Formats: sequence, C-alpha cells, structure tokens
Amino acid sequence: MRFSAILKAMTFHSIRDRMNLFFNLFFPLVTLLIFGYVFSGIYSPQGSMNVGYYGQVLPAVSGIKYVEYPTLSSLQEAVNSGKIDLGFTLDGTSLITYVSPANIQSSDYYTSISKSVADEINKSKGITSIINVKRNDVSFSGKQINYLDNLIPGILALSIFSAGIFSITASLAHFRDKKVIKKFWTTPLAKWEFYAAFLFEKMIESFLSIILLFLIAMVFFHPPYSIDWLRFIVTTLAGTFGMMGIGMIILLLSPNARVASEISSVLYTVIMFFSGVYFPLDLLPKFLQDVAYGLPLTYIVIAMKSAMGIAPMSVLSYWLTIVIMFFGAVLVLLGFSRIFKID
Amino acid sequence: MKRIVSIFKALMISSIRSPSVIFWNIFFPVILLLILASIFTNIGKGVSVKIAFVNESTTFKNTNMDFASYISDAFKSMSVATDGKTPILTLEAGSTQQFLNESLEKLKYGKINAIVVIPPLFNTQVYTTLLQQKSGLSLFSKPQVEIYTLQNDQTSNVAFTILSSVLEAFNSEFLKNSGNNSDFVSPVIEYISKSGQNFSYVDFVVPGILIMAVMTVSLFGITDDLLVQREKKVLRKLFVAPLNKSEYFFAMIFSNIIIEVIQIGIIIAIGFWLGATLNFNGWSIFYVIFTIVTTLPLGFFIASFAKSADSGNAMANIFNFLFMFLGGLFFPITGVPFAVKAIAYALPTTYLGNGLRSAMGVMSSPTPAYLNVIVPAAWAIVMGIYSVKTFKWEA
Repeated sequence: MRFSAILKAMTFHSIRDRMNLFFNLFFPLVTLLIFGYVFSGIYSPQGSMNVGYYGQVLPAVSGIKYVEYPTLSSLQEAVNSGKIDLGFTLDGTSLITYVSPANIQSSDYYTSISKSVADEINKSKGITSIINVKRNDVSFSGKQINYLDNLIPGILALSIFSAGIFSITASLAHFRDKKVIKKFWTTPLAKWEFYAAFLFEKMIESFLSIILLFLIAMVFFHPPYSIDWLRFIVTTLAGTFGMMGIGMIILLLSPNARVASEISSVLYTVIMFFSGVYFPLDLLPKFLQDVAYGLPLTYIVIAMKSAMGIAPMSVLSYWLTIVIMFFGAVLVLLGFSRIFKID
Repeated sequence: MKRIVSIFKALMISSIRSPSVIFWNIFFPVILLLILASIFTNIGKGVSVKIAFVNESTTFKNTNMDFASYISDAFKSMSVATDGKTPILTLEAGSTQQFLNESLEKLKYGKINAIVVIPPLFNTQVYTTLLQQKSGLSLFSKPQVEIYTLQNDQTSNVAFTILSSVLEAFNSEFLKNSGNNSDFVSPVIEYISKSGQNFSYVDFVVPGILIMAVMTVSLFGITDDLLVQREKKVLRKLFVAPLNKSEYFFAMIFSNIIIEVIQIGIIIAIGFWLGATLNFNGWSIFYVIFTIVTTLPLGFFIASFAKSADSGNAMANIFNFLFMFLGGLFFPITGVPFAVKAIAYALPTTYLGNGLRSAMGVMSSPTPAYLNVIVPAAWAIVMGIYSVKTFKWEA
C-alpha cells in the first residue's frame, strides 16, 4: 500500500517536472530528428547530385544533373564554395574529379559516381574494361537498410544511457539535496519501499520514453525493422538499470546534485562519440576503438541493433551483456545504498 | 571603472574556480576537435579492413597466364605491415565453396568487411577477352569478379573502394598489354582548397569549433551569469551595493570575452598542431571579432524570456544543438530535405561558418559575403533589442 502511494507520488513528480520531460523526451526527440536528417544527408544523399564540368561534354549518368562552367577556375570555385557537389574535367585519359575535403564523409559515394562517369566515357569510345566488377550487398536482415536505420537504435540506446544515469544523478541527487529523502525517513516508510518505488518509476518512465521515441522514428522515417520484442524490452530495462548503477557511482563521488549532473553531462557528451552511434567503430583510430569497446554504451547500441534485427549479436553475447548490465547494477546499487548518505 | 574591474575580477575568479566552466569552455571544444579530426582524417588512411579472398580459378594454374595469382599476390602484399604501420588489409584466403559460405556468414556478422570471388574460368576469360579486344570480336564472355560487401556499412564501403581500385589497376595493366590503353579514361580524385594549398578536414572543422566555442560561452556562460545569479538573489544583493546594472553588465561582458579569447587561442593552437592551414589577415581577425560580438546577445536573449535557470539551460541546449548541427559547423549540410535546408539557411551560424572559413582562406563561401555579415548582425540586433526591452534583473 505504501509502495503504491510512493510510486504514485513519484509519478506525479516526474510528470510535473518539466525539465525531466524535456531532457528525457523532448531533447532525444530533437536529437533524433536533427541527426536523422543531417547524417542521412551526408551518408546517403537523396535525389540527384549537382555536378559541374568544364570542357568536353560528359555522358549522362543517372542521379547526376550537369552544369557547364566556362572556365576551370569557375568550376573549382563552385566545388570549393559548395555550390555543386562535384566537378569534372577530362584531361587526356584522366577524368579529374574535384571534391571539397569538407565532404570527406561522402568520399566513397563521390568516388563511385566518378567511376560511373569514367565507365560511361570509356563505353562511348568502345573501350570496355577487361574485368567486370560486380558488387553484391548482403545484409544481416536481408532487408534494404540505410544509414538512418542504423542510427535510430543508436539514438534509442543514447536515451537509455541518459535516462538511466540522469535518473540517479539528477532526480535522486535532487531529492537528497532538498532533504526530501530525510523527510521520508520520519514517516513509517521502509527504505526498500522508497528505493523500489523510485527505481520502478524511473524504469517505467525510461521505457515509455523509449517506446514513444521509437514510434516517432517509425512514423517519420519508416525503418524496415524486424523487431525481436523480447530483446527490445529486455535491452531497454537492463540498459536503464545498468546505467542507474553508473549513475549511483557518479552520485557517490559528487558532493551535490549540480556536480553529479555536470559529471553526467560531460560523460554523456564524450561517450556518445565513441559508442558507434554516429560513426562506425572500425573507422576510429585503434586506440579509440579500444576505448570504445570498454564503454557500456557500445554494448547497449549493439544489443539494440540486434533487437531491431539489423545487426548480429549471438545469443551468448547478448545474454552475457544483459546479465552483466543487470547484476552489475544490482551489486552497485546494493553496495552503494549502504554507503549512500542522505545528509 | 573601479567597480567594473572589481566585479570583473570576481566573475573571472568564479569562472576559473568552476570546473564546469573550464570543461565546457576550454576542454570540450578541444576534445571535440580531436575526436572529429581523428575520425575524419582517419577515413581511408589509417583504416585496416578484413578481406576474404576466394580464388575459384582452375585454368592455367601455375603458368604465366595465372592472372588470378597476380591479383592474389597483390592482396597478399597489401596485408603485410611495412615500416611498423598497420597493413591496409587483413587477408583470409581460400578456394572452396565452403570457404565462401563461411565467409558470407562472417560478413553478415561483421567479422570481415568484404569478400572477393575470382570465378573458375577467370584466367581463360581474361585471356580470351584480351584476344577479343585486339581482334574486335565479341564471342566470349568477360570475367566477372564479384565483391560481396555488407549493406550500408561504411567500413565495408572503404573495403570495396580499396578492392575495386586494385582491380582497376589490373584492368589498366591488361589494357596496356593488349594495346588498347591509349584512350582508357580513369578517374582521378583531387581535393581542392581556396588557397590552393593542401586542405584537409581539419581546416574545415577548426573554424566551426571556434564558432561553437564562442557561442557556448554566450549561451551557457551569460545565461548562467544572469539567470542563476538572479535566482540565487545574488544580483539583488549586488545592486544593494554601490554598483549599477550597466557596470555589472560590462564586467560580465568583459569576463566572457576574456574566456572567449583564451579558448580561441587554444583552439587555433591545437588546430595548427593538427596540421590546419588557416590564413590570418585583417579580414579573418575582423570576422572572429564579429563572431564574438554577434553571438553575445544569444545568452541575453535566452535570459530575457526564460523564467528560471533550469528553463534557460534547457533552451540553451536546444539553441546550441540546432545552431551547431544545422548550422553546418562540423559537417556541410547536404542532401537534406528542403524544409531542413530552409531552417539551416535561417540560422546565423550557417553564415558565420561560411564567412569565417572564407576569411581564413579555407573555402569560398556558398552564400554571398554580404549575407555572411547581414544575417548574423540582424539576429544580434533583434535579440539585443528584445533582451534590453524584456530582461528583468529581479525574479
């Protein structure tokens, strides 16, 4: 009875706390939409490309809209200023392809476009290559997936990370600093009832915010996932719980809620770049890869991708991750609850 | 003046003593610069890919027409570390269907990045194609090398680029030997810069980080100076003393400008250390100052309509995020829907980024030079006027 009363109170507190709603729901949503559009534009450009050329007219290639430039310098200037995506000029047997290094993230895509144009020129001269190269794309799910489809589980994992950590370093710390917990101890409320209600409410809150984010992602971007709902639910719950354990360690090292919140923000901002959410870990320098594989968020990202059916994770690796996340957090929460000082 | 100096000193000491101010204003921009530079200058350079090479060719084995073995040798040589550097690729080789099936499973699980399959009649087909090229006949089919990659995997894309370049080089060599190479067109990629010097991604990102850092001071520093101090009633207490609002205001501006100057110096020094090529002339120095001046009102603007320090912090986060990523400070905004592009072109950071990169000789501005001044200035004026009219010094 007391458990349900305190759970109800915690729920009201969370709903009425605008900052909580902002950072748990609105901010991840904005992140999802902005990163969704910006990064998918970089890695999987949509629509036709604006390509400039100087000199000889080039053969038509699908997906390319040509613009002629009167001089080489005007073509280079257009590439350099980002007015066109690529610039071509045929110099003897070299198809010089001008690219701005600002677009290095799309370099593979631009290289393939350049190759297609060179192939068409050779074909028009009756020269064909000796060896044909055929590219076959395989995917784990067997479905057509793009950069954004890979990004969405990463953003959900980031939300799990932030919801778990901040629920301790912001909410619990706030309760401690405002002496709310101390006041509870003057009532007949048992400690376990308070902590259980707190954790339960935060888990539900995190789960609902992840579901809502996921639904919005489905509506806006229509990703072709084959969802393993058991893995999805277990990853969300164990991930949140695991991150609460880390939040507890941060809280114990911090003198007050503000410092705990600052440490969490710093951790969140730095870790999000190394966890394979935005950039594949294989492209990181070796020492950063080692750092990345030591971070818990990396494994939540992989587990979430496996739950969405777009990346492999063996049954053993998956459940081992979940067990470590879950029991690790239990140990941390139990251990530190003994030394967690209310005053 | 003395009072301005005193309050300036107090604000500076408070900033120096605050780990969060030091982290977000000094360390974070540097860390972000190092992260982005290490990721994007690493692409295609230090990266090492894992390849499975399936050689099914059965004809002309161990003869000088064993073209498949030449390709195999080329890949083997690329998998050997030279001068202590990481080799470009790690190679697994086999010739059976079982090896191919196992490799496909490994590819699906991301354990390797690509598979090259040389077909059984490869050597014969290369030879007959070479003869056909000479005679102009087209009787036999060409050899087809299949490259399997993992869909939408960037490392796999890098692996494909490496493998196809090797095969392209063999193509060119075969054509040369068949006497048909004279007109064969090959693509050559050239990265260009405004100054004509070697230009890397670091050149592009340093001005972006610089704008982000300056903007962060305004968004979080000024918001904090005004809203947190107002909420804690520090401002109220200060104005009980013989200190007027304009004196506090100027001291606060100066303390934030000093932090900005320090961070600009550090970012540029790190940028040069990373190999950035940036021009420093009168125009670029003017534009840095212009950036500082036009981003300062951002903090006042937020402080003027946020009711509490918490809501101010939330708004600052949203502004920061939008201005950073949609303003193209770290990546150019390309291939996005029209609505997103329209928002990007309404933001001052888009123009500040274009203007500063142009002034530093990194790249030509995609937007007209006058807009790079007018748009940020207009934002600053509107926000400044709004803030002056609505900001309340007491809660």
